[in-house]
Amino acid sequence: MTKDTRNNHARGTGANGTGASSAGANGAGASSADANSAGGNSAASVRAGTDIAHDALTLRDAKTGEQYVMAGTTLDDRHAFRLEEMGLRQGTALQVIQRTNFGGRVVASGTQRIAIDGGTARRILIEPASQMAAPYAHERGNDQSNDQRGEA
Amino acid sequence: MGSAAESDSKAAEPCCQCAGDGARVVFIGNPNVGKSSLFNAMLGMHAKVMNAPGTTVLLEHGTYRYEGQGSQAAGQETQPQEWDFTDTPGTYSLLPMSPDEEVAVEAVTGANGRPQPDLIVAALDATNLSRSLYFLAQVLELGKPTVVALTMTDLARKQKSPVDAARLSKALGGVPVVAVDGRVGSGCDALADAIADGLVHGTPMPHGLAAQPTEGATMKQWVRSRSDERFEWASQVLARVGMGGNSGLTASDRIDRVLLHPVWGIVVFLIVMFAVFQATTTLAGPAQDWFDVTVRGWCETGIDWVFGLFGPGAADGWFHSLIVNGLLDGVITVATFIPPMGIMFILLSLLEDCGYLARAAFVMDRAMRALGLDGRAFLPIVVGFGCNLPGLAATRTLPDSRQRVLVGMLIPFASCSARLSVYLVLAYAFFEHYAGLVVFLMYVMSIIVILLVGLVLKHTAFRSLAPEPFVMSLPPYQCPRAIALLRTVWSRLWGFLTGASSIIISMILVLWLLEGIPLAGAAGSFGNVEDVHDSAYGVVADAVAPVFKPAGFGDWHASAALITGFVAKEVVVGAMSQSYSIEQSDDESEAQEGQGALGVALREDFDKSSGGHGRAAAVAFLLFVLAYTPCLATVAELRRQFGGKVAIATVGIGLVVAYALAVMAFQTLKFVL
Repeated sequence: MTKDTRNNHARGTGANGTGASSAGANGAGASSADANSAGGNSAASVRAGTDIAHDALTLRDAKTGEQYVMAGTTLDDRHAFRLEEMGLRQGTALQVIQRTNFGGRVVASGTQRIAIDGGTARRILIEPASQMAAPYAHERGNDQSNDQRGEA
Repeated sequence: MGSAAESDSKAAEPCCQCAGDGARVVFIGNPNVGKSSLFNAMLGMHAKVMNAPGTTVLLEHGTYRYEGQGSQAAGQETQPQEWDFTDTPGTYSLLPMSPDEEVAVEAVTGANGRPQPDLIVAALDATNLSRSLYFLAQVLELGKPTVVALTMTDLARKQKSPVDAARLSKALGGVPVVAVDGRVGSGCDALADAIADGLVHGTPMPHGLAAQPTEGATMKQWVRSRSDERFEWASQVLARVGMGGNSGLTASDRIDRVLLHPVWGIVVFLIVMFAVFQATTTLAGPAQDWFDVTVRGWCETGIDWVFGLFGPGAADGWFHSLIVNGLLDGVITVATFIPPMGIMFILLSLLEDCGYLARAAFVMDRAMRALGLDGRAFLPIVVGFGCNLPGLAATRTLPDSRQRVLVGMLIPFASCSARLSVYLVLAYAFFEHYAGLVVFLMYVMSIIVILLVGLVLKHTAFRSLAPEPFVMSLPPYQCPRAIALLRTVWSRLWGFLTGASSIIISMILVLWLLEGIPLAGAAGSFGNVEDVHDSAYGVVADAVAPVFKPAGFGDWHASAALITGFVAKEVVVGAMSQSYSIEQSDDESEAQEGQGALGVALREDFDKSSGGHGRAAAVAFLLFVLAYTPCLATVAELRRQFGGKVAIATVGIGLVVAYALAVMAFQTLKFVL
């Protein structure tokens, strides 16, 4: 998905942009709580990318060394699932520890170091983590990011 | 999964050459966890590499002999057993995303007619436990006896998050866990004991996991439906083992600050590539000469002595020529490839084992992707410019088998140093002061041809090869261990030698035969033909020559040289001199040869065959040499790695491209040169 497509999506849902993104964020919150039971349906809606505000943070925008939390991807289903299997799931805490040439990123998540190419990094959505470094910190972080998005 | 019954009936089918009645043990694990080192450590030198049936994916097989000591249960039978070991390509999940991962999944689930394993050895990386445990959950849910081989425990300790095998086993509800280090071979005996035990007693299904249902969901549905449960289970196990926190900045991270730096990363990368290139050419050179001159000399002396035993004059006959110029020449030719191949295998293993190769692939990914190739394709192609053969050997670092074949088919277009000798002679013969420029342009053409052929292949035969997102778990940096390294290198070298030698030696014998059959009147006796034009070889060259008329070099000297070049490009210049009956001196450089008698002869000939446009014909000839089939050793290696069809296709493509280039070049350049 190019940047333009993402913007078009956002414009299409422009009027509901804020509302939709809160729904998406709440969906993200819900899925973490249901992570133990359901099959991640709300994660799928975030993954589909229809209700992402056009100024959502991507991995490309992440500042090195700061804590973030996974908020979904705009990758196709197959690759999104593989990313999950590699440990980058909804709500996982991560930080970018290295920027490489051509936009590549090295992500630290737990003890893993995952190298991701620039194009894919642009499709991974993140949110700033709250002060806590706990894996499911985004539940608290949601309130902050909702405020941020409200200003959009 | 209704294939269980099917697989049982097929289980009786012998799998390649393995012992049909031994227990089948399959090794599986994520990429870069040291699984192959472990596999080779357990099997010693007995691992055989072969293609998974119907694919170009490489699998290692071997028979392990268990002496039966150290079993835990008292009164256990300690009869020696033979087990069938299979190693698989690394995979992140039982839902595969590439042909290599598919082969791994089929091997471990017994799908697609493959034999069911009796036991699975799951290699887990102690420095990456959460992801490893997720994968282990999938494997355990297959319901087969499983043993966990825990690798990189020393590294985990250094990273201040040590993992205790016994504690992990307890947290897994009794699944046996053995700490191993494939590089030094520790833990192998304990692993063998655990395998023996597992084969007899099976493995308990941990609490929180559920065995895969035999009917109903497809593999894909099954893997996806329970992914959250499996991650939940993994984090519970982690908690029980006392882990789960973030690690701080590790030593590997600090090294990556430089090696993955946007600027320094590329600098280091180029230095490493240059070093590898130099090593496989310059460093290998003296060793190759040693084989070609010294060892050949010893052998010839020895052979002469043996023939001398049969009386004087015995060494003058054709049989002596067959042994020396045919058989010995073939063996020595194969031997001259040992230094560059050996060095390549050593460097590859070093780079792989220490962890740098993964970074190198990442550094080059974007640039290579723009060219339509995988980032890891850079190393094989760069090495190919030194010598195609080690370049082909380097393709094994590409994890996707389709990429391996694609790059393998492009490497022959890399102008190797043997081709350089031909470029130099012709450039100096026809372009004197501009010789350097001409040679440089040949290299530029080489790169252009690689890109264009790559583009065409990607849109035709390799259409399914879409650019995949580059997402890779970087292994921590490690110090490679010498013994494991040598073991791997030896087995790969041996594989090359046994695979390539038969073709090379037989072709050289065929050439010898052609050169030895006298067909013109006063040519000489069999095996002793004076002028090569009078032999069967000359006749063949004459027959082929007219084909090259549209390219301006329709002369038997040229076609004879090209036919010899099919065997080895280094010999082309020598063959050309021989066809003109010009004596070559050992210390003449190619430049001097081009400017000397050989150059004169070439200019005369090319002018004649091209109707006065000798230079245009020379360019056409150079382009033909650039692109037409690589040397025989390369073809043999292509066949060994990718099968006969790929080898023939590559030769065919090379001939077509070479001919097209040569004809187009001559027909256009004859108006200017």
